[in-house]
Amino acid sequence: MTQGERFFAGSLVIGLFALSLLPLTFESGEDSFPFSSYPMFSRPRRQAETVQALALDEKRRAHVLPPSVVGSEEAMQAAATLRRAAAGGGRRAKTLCRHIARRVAADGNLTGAIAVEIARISYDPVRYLTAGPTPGRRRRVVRCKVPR
Amino acid sequence: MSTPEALWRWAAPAAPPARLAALRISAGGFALVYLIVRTGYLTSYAELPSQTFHPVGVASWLEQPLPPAAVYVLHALALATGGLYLLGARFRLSGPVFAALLLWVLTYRNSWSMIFHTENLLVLHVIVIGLSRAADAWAFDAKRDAPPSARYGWAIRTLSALTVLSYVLAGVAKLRNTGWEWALGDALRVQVAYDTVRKIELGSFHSPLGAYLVRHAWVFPPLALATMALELGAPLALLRERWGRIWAFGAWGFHWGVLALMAITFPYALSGFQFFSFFRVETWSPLQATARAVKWLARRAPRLGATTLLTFALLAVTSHTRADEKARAGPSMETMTDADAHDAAPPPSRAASPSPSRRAVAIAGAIVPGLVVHGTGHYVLGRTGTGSRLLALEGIGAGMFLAGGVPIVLTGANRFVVGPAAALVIAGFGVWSMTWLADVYGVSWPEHARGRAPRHLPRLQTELGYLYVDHPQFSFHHLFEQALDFRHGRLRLRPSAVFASDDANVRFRVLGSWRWLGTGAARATTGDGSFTDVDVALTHHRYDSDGFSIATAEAMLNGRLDLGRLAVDLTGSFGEFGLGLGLQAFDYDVPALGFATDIEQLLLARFGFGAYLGAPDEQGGEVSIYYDHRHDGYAAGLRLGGLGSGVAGHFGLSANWYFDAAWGVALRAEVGSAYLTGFSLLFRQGTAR
Repeated sequence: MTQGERFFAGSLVIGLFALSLLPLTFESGEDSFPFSSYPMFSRPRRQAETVQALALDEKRRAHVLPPSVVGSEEAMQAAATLRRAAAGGGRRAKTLCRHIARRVAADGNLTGAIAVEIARISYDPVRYLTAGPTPGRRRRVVRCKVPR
Repeated sequence: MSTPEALWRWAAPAAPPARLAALRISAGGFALVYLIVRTGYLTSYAELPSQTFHPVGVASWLEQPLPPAAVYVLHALALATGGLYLLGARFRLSGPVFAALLLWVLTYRNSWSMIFHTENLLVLHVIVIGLSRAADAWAFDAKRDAPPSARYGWAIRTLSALTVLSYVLAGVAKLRNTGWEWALGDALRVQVAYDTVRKIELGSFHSPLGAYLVRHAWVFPPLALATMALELGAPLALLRERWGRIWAFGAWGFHWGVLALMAITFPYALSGFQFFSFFRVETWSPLQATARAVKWLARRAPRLGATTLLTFALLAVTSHTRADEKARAGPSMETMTDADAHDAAPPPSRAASPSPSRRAVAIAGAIVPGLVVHGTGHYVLGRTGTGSRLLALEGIGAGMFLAGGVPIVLTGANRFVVGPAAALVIAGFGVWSMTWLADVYGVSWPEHARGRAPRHLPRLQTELGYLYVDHPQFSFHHLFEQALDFRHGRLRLRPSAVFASDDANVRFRVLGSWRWLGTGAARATTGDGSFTDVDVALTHHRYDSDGFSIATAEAMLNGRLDLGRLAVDLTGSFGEFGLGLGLQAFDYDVPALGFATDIEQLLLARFGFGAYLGAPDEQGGEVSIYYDHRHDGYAAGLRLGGLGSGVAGHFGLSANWYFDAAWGVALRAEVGSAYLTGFSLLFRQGTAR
């Protein structure tokens, strides 16, 4: 192995290790790619929160709408759409809500729905799995009428 | 020896060029397949609005997303150079260029929603290999194998060190964010519960095992302690080669554990490739065979180039049709303004169906490379969630197959081991094959043509049929079958008889069944045909002209899962599994040998995949293909060459179709050492209460 090859390999290794250790200086919540602090699973999350699209019937009972009505067959994508809409503020959430309401109106299986609500729902995850799926705390983000 | 020199000798031990080349093929091959199967997903970001763009890493300098054309071109270039990287062709150029393109493509993808920690090590490994002399052996340009040298060893050691470092960093993150109490298990339990609940509430696939174990808090302290030991103790893997191997097996098992507990897939780690640098992989015959294949491919590089171009053309068609579909489907949720929302026509409740050309590409992808990478068809359609689930299940099936197969081989099919191990092998093969068939079904069977599960089961069904058998041992060919199928609530009783018209051969059988799980007979179902039945049966098969008879008693757990529960793209299909044990007593027509002179155990195992047709309550039925391990039926076991002869059971195809609420037909074909085909007339009446 020539001196040049040794220098190249040594520099590369030192550089890669320095960059790999760089995330140790990150603030909590900061991350990057491909050099990461690997924060997944590192912090217990006592509360699980989901943003959901709900259909409300005449008695104001809430029914969770399937991802396809939100706009994607993929549950995680639909969830990301709802989450981003909720985080994006009133106008954005309202647009999405109206769009979902139009889909509900067009769906023959959802004839009882009179309104759509986008809401944040919190759960205690351990209790949910040990004592059964108890209704979590619901906070409304936006509500809109189903056009009939 | 000075300290820097000693450190260098440790960091760059002499290693054969073939070992580094094997790592190039494994990591490069994995990266290439990963890019191919996730093409739809990785390029889907080309069309998203800039509000959701949060660039990270090497993409941080971008103020705006790239133009869509640039995304497609860079992806295509990554695929092209990936092929050269794998072959080791012009590696001094293709190595760094592919590494840079892979880094870019995956960084760009991670700039859109969340950062996926499943791709970090893959990128780092490809970079190190791409900047090393990894094509001095087993490559297009390789002239002859060079002797072992530090110029190969430094890269291999660096791969191992980067792998170890990533686990240490994950351990450090736990200490920083939670402290040593993470090792007590509560944080892990809460994390598993959080992940499971989130997925349940979102209607996504979650781990039933994780949901079950959260109820048992005592499970988590040892798991958490083992995780911390694995992560913070990882540097030990660099001190001794043997320790490195042991750690690699531990880390590999850890990722399988994560999959089982949380349904989270780390594909590079689960495949095992991530840990290859800890082993003398150049001595492994599968990798040697792969190297020979690479050399063979390299010799045909020009033609390969043409194939690559064809692949790009197909991808271009895919991307083009994708854009068309988006345009036809109207503005996306992300881009819709208030005005759009008012003007848009009511959208369909399901996502728009793919165009014929895109569906054709998906079907081709589901076959090649889909036979190896299950879920490819759905990835091509952009239905990545379904694709990922099928891929994860394929991994689980392969793991079960190995978990059962390895003990059989190592113990020489020890009689105490072979029963449960064979059951595991069959179940693993069943999961593996079911996921492939589900992928093909999901992309090829049009949504509007899919059937549904029957909502009611008949109280009484009468069957009268004919079977033709071509058996190498027995002289009978023509059989007539009669059966009654009676259901009351969860109970089912099915007496049946089969008579040969051209020989003294008759079989009587009584099956009793209890529906343990699932709705089904007790009340109308909600369109879900899933069930679990406990079956017991007695069979008496008389071979009078051959001078013997067999009496069989058996118990079996049989189940069906509607795959729509797994993913909405698979609605209308189902998978079946069954496992049980039987005892056979032989009675020979020989004066000295009485009944039960011979008693044999019978492993009962079965799996199948099928689809509902139409509406079976009115007009419709179902079709399925299956494997049945039992050897005592008319089709018996498959006749194979070598050690496998006599081991396998038979394969079959069955279908039924009801013309109206009463009348229907059933068809059946089986292939074992005998061939069987036949049909039955069905008459059903009443609804089970």
